[in-house]
Amino acid sequence: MDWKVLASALAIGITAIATAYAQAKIGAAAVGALVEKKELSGVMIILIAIPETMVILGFVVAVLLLGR
Amino acid sequence: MIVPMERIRLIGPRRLASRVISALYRAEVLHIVQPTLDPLFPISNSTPLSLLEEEKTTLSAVNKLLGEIQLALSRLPEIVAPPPSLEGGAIEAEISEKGDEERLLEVSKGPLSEALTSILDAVREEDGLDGEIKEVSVYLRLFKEFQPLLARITTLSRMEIAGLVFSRDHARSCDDVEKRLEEVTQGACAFFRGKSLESGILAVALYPQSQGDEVRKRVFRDRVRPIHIPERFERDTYASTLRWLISQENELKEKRKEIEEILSDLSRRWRPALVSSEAALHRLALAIAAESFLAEKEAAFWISGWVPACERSSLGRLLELEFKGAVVLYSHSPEPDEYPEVPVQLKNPCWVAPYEHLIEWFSPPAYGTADPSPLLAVTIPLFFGLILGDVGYAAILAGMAWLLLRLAPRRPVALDAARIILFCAISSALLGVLYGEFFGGLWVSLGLGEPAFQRKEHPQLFLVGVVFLGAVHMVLGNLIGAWVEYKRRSLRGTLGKFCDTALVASAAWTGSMLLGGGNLSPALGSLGVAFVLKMATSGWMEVVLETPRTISSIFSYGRIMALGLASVILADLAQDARGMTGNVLAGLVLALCLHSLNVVLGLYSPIVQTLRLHFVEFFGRFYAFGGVPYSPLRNR
Repeated sequence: MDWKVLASALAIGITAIATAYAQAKIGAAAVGALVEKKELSGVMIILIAIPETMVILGFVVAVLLLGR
Repeated sequence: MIVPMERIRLIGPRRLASRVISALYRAEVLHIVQPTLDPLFPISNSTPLSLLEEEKTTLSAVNKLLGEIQLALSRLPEIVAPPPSLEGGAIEAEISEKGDEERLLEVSKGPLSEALTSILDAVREEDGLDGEIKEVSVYLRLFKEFQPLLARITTLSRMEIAGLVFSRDHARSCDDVEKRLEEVTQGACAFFRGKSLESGILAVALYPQSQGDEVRKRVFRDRVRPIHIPERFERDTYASTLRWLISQENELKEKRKEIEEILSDLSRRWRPALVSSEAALHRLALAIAAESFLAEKEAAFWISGWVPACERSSLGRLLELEFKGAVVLYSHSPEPDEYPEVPVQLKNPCWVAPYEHLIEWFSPPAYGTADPSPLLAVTIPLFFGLILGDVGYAAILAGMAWLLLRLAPRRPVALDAARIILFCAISSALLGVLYGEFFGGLWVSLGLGEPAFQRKEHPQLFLVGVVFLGAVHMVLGNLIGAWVEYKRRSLRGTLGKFCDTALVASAAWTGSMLLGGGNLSPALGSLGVAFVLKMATSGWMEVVLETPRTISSIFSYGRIMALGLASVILADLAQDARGMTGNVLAGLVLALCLHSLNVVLGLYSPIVQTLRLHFVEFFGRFYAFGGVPYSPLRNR
């Protein structure tokens, strides 16, 4: 078995799950906040994008692993 | 660019206060502040001006009239162009030369007042009719459902009629109610079941009035909520009630049509006069309300506020011309300790101005710091292009910008959004040529030439490139931060920012060597020197906190490569769709779906991630939130 493939899949999969979990929590809170203060929409979009760093870095790691 | 501001103070006789306020509204340059917030207020022995009794009465009358006019205008139908000979047009021409206060008299006492009363009467009548039509139509719908009853019910005299609604899940309750009604009334009743509708099952129950209480108590209980027909709708028989409801509905609709015609006529005659009177009264209300921003001492008043430095002389000329020296204007440039109070106005060329909206999402930069809009105008399209980088998708983006302009040609926000999209499309097209991408691999398939750099073939090189670009971006942010600190006259802050710059540059160098496999020693040496310098200026605690943040911020730019690769892989997948399905038509549909998904993702992700890189990584280096938006006195 090629361990690099498994490691790449884990790098993407685990970070994707973590990102999804964080975005679900932030998204729900963001909707609640937006009901109260509509002018926060810009900040909320950025806040929702912050956890994406995990999966994006996971993708980078996966590419680096597969490229070696 | 943040427009330089000057603090101004106007001093004049109390009797001229409202005229000065009117002049300031016309000038549209003064950002007025409460006198109590002026540093001179505590030592001036003055008091905030309170409205005179007469002014309070006028303000209340103006606000009442404004409310009425706004209600009338919201209900009057729009008209294309009123004939000038009509009564309202003539009055409008007559009073348009008058001042705002004379207009108030005209609206409250003149023919305009009578017209306003007629409009409001018609509006009230229309509202009443709407309510009645709605009520009648509800009962009519119920009665029409039971038209077969016409033949069977001959009289409603001394009978009580109740409409019943059963939810579809409780159809059995309907049988139960029917059975119990027969028991309670000993057969002196009628029960009719309607069709099963989405809202439930409708039914009508008839029973003697004398047994009404018993039926309600023993049959309906709390389970069934009967709908009683109001007494005023009841006629002798079911048929006559239905006939009456139909005729009543038609009659009410006729009446409503008449009212609509009356309102159209009134709109044709009076709308222009009402629109201009609304503007005049609004000005008057603002002018009176603005007097609460004045301070007074004996027979004098003073106003404190901010104006753009370039507008100061024109404001001085205007006041001199109107008040012949009776009102004096003092001004000075703000000192650094006044910066938190200074309002911020951004002024940029037309190709930069759209990016100001992105900054407005948060808050304007504090006065005395830097406006990042010109940088955003370069880096946002650049990052967007680096991520999307496809000639085909760029063409779709350009089409969307054109469509946006066609759909909302007069909306400034739409124009600005279209400009940003267009700049991003241009950048995507240029980088698409560099990457050799046209809807993914179609560029190569069509033989459009050898690409200069294929990012999917060299992901590591692409990663090193974007990380290096990120480092340059952050170095730029730190240099701006150093300039801002220098302007604030903070030597320690300036040195700290320079050390941050050295730290970022050396960290990027080290990272590039690690990823690219170059000579690590000089890079590590520079990183060590940067550490020592940073520790000397900011202390070890800040170094401990700042270093991981800096390194993670630099690597965060790796998202440009990650999203870019995801975009190109998805586009390639769409190209291979035909081979995957083995059918031309299915392949075409799949390719279309995948390209559409890529366009949507290609629009959303690069915008959000590019903004995130700016707001979190870049702005964190220099941007000071908390600027007060510049909001001058103006009529609208």
